[in-house]
Amino acid sequence: MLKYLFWRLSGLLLTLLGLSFVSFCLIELVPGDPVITMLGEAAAWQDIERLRIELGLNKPFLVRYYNWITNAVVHGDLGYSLLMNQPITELFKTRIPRTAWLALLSFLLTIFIGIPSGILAALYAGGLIDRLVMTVSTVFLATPIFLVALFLMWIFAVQLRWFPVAGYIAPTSHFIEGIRSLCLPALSISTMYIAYIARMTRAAILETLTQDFVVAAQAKGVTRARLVFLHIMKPSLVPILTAGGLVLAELLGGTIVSETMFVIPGIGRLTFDAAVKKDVFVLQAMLLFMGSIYYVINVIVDICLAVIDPRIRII
Amino acid sequence: MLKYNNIQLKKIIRFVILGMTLLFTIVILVYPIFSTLDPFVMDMQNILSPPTSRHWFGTDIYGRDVFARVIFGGRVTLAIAASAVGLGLFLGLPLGLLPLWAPKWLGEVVRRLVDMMLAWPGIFLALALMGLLGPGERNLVIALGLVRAPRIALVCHNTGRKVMEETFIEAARSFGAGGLHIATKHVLPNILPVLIVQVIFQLGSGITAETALSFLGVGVMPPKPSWGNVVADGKNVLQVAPWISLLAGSIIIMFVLFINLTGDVLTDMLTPKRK
Repeated sequence: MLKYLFWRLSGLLLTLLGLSFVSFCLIELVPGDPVITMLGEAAAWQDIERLRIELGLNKPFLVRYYNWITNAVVHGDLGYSLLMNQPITELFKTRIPRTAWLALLSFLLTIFIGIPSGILAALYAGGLIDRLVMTVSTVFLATPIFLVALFLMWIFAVQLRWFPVAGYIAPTSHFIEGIRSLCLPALSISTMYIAYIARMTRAAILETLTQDFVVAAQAKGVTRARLVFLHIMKPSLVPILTAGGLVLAELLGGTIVSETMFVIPGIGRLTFDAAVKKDVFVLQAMLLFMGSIYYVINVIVDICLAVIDPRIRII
Repeated sequence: MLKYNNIQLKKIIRFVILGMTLLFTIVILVYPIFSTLDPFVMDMQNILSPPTSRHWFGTDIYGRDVFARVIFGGRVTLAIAASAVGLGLFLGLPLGLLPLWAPKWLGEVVRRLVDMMLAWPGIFLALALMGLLGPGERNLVIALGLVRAPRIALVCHNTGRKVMEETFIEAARSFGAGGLHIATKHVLPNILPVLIVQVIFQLGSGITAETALSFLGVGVMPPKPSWGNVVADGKNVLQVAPWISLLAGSIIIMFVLFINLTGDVLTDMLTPKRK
């Protein structure tokens, strides 16, 4: 197990290094000068030149990459947002908790609705529950987040007035109101993933149900509850966990749409603003951040899987 | 897909799904040619009208016919999504097949790069690219194509790798067939069914992504209609004229739903049944 951990973690470090390089290149390849974007076309060339030197943009490509990555790793400094006029690390510090609340709530909704409905659908495959789950999930999978958000907004905020139309209240300062303000945004992100997780769970359990040990357990007289929760769930957990990890990483993409629509000042909204206003340094930091989260989640999932299933530990 | 016991019923449902998708596509592509509807003409006497027999989906804040905007917008959205999938296929197919025959180190590099492109959530990468490239339809195609490419490459690679294990590949090798020959003449035809289905599904995601970006205001720029910005126009008047967003949104959902169902039907029809 220790050997497995060592290899996974060292692999992760290498991958993150590669990721940072690709993120940096992606921004480099883009036409246009960030300084001119910021100061405007009419700016005096002295000003442009001065700011360029200040930001270190006059140095060669590899030197700039080296400076960027060492600053990020050693000082936790991701650069400076030209349009927000703030260090990016500071922006992240205030905004990440908001997005984290939203993502957490969406993820919990996904897990607690998706997995049980998948289990029910698989256990009663072909029955009414199964058909209902499959039909609803087909529709959910075809509905983009912004439309779910719009429909929810119209029904629950405009018509019924159960939830606020937009805005954010920190759950840490006022828990009930905070969660209330996050309900619609979280639900709008999760519908698509609820459908996905339900389908994955259903498929995984149906696959397990065909195994001989299930028949053997039934023949032995194991109770139905024990059979489902112990014998069937454990092997099915491997694909479900993998899908769960993917969903958690993808959810963060969903926060961009949701935060923009419901006016939540998190990093999703920051990404949107940076994209609209062409704040390349923020986009660069976001590419690194989002990619890193994906890889870190992947490694955590892999380690969990190795704990559950010893066969995976073999390298 | 739902499980049907009755084979007859299954055939009817298949027929309905394929027919509806075709009908939707034809209406979107052909209707504008024969119709007198104009998505740009403004009627200030008649703004925010609810759906009537003259304006099926009502009118927006400039008195423009929402139905016309949805149909014309569908054309724009469909064209962009299809071009993006085309670009994705053009980049993704070679990238997916390359590791099957190229030198090991090159294959590994390509595989890692494709994997890295998948690390970013699709909508995030598309938005970041749009931010870097600037708005406009050409950039939208590039951004969405770059997002589709690694996803197509992954499917090509995974399916292709399974084909590579077959005996007939070994046989071809023993005749002295080269890597490129095997990839294009033996692997490609065998992954074609999976690839076609994948293209259909990617088209669905492409439409979703295009509408999302245009809705957020970084895609197709008004006054040119696209499904995304028609819904966005309606969002601002959701309280007084909800039908604009809700009807246009329903059309998007229905179209993507039928495309996804078509993908399911084609999977059933094209790929060999499991035991």
